[in-house]
Amino acid sequence: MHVWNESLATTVTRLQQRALSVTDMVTMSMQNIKAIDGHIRAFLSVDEEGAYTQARQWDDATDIQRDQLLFGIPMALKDNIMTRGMKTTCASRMLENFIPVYDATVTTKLRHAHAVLIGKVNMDEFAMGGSNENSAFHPTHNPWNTHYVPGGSSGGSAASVAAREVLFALGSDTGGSIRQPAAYCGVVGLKPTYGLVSRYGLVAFASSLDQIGPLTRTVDDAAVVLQAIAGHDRRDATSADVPIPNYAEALHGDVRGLKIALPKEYFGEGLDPCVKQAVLDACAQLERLGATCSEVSMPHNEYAVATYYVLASSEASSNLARYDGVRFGMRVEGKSLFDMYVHTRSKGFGDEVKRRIMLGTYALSSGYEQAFYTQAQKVRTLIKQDFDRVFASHDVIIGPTAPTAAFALGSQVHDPLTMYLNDTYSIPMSLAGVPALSLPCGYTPDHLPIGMQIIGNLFAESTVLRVAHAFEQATEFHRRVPPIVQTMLQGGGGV
Amino acid sequence: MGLAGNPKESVRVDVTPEVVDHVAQLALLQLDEPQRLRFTDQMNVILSYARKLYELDTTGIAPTTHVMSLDRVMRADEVTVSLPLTEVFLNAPEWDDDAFFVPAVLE
Repeated sequence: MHVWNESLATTVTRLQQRALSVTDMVTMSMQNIKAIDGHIRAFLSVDEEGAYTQARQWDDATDIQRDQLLFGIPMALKDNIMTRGMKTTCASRMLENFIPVYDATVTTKLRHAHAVLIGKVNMDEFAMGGSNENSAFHPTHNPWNTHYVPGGSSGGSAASVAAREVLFALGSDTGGSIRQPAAYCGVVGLKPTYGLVSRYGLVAFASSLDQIGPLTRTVDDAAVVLQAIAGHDRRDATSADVPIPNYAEALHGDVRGLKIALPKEYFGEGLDPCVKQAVLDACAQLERLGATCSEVSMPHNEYAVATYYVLASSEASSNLARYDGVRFGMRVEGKSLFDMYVHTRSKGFGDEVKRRIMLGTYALSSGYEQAFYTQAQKVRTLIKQDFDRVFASHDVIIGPTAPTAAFALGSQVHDPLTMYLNDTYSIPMSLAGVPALSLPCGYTPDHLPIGMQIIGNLFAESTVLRVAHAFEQATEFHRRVPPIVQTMLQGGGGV
Repeated sequence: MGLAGNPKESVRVDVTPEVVDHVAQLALLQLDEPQRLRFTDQMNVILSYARKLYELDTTGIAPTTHVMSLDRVMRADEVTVSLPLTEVFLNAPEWDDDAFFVPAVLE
């Protein structure tokens, strides 16, 4: 049996029964990284020594609990999630040498679940971007075609999972940053309800939108990882104090009688015909399984991108004020304190980060705040009301994750607005705070994965996972492996 | 810069290089000349697109700051262990004993 074709739960069971050792798992992960990461460059740092030390400790111990949810599973974390003693750079020169002195809550939870941290993965600088080309260090490449972007900003997370370098990764999503790279790389990406997963120790971009979530090969695996990271945290004032259901149990239901809404605005102009067809075929598949689909309208959808870029940039301009060279991160000396601030920030931030800080500063500056920021907050209310209206009579909403499949590296880098418009289908859910999962539902004629989104009401992750699981069980899209990975696995990678 | 009267009528987006200079100063950023001109163009394009928000009548609509209702975010004032200073200073560019060092504030 090959662990890369098994569910996380099955592999955990084998590890618990000592049919596999944790060292075996780390070895497999390291072998695959060595074979493939030179081509895709998903990792910013790999902690080989730390991972082996941890593995040996658990393999040798006779007195540890082996019944943990993710016992012995190799994982990667996006490099904006704090890891004590291990660099957390946000793919920025500003934090190039920053070593956190505490763990994010999700890091602590995953350590308690006995997952093994293999390394930190690439992203757009400070999570701003949709292609990984804004990383200050190097772009990550799409495992399906290395001339294409993996998406972003959690591009390293998606690519590392698609390339079988790790069994799962965490990403963060502010306007689509988990779901869009999941779609581009042919994996499952879940943005949970705002507040379900603690943001403590996640480097802040736009605090009213940021949310951490899993990137996995299958929906089953997403349920397991979500179980491990969800829950109230007193260290995050926006963390929701709600009961956490058993997500794995939720997978077993079917979709008979389920009401699916298809917003006509999600299937209009600008959507690649082959993406449209794949998503509509997926809906037809769900209808064959007993669900009913009906067209709805979400009239404020077309204002979501403008709303998002005003609000997220405003929040970013405030959050990123802390990078001033005083307490941590880069410092560039200057004659005065003021010069030091300006030199540090001008050298430490890349172009896209500067652009967003500038936009946010403009939108919040005297005389413009009412015009842009407050108006955008009001439109956010209208967008949220669209979701409330649809969920009053439907269980889930389905649509494409992105207007196209992955695009070629370098093809959009000079055109920020076009890049921003790629987020058309992923931003509204972030503004409304609702959970959304992207999973593979087809491939383009060029063999690039296509993702569709299943969107639920607030805290309805169980419903979202159940629908996604029913679709996955009835189809084969999630079984396809990128050709470059197939070659590597046939060459002896893995067990 | 600044708006007068009805904001709906006065959302004119005309970002000049001088406006970019002013915003950069507020944001503590120094732009080189190509960057300054590029940002002027790009901010005009992006903010003109954002004017779209004014197609909507939002009279009587309450702004959303957060999607969750945050009734009470105060916690009990309990003393807990803080991070040791020696660890905190590991990431500091310049420090001594118990303080971060910065260039002189007063001349």
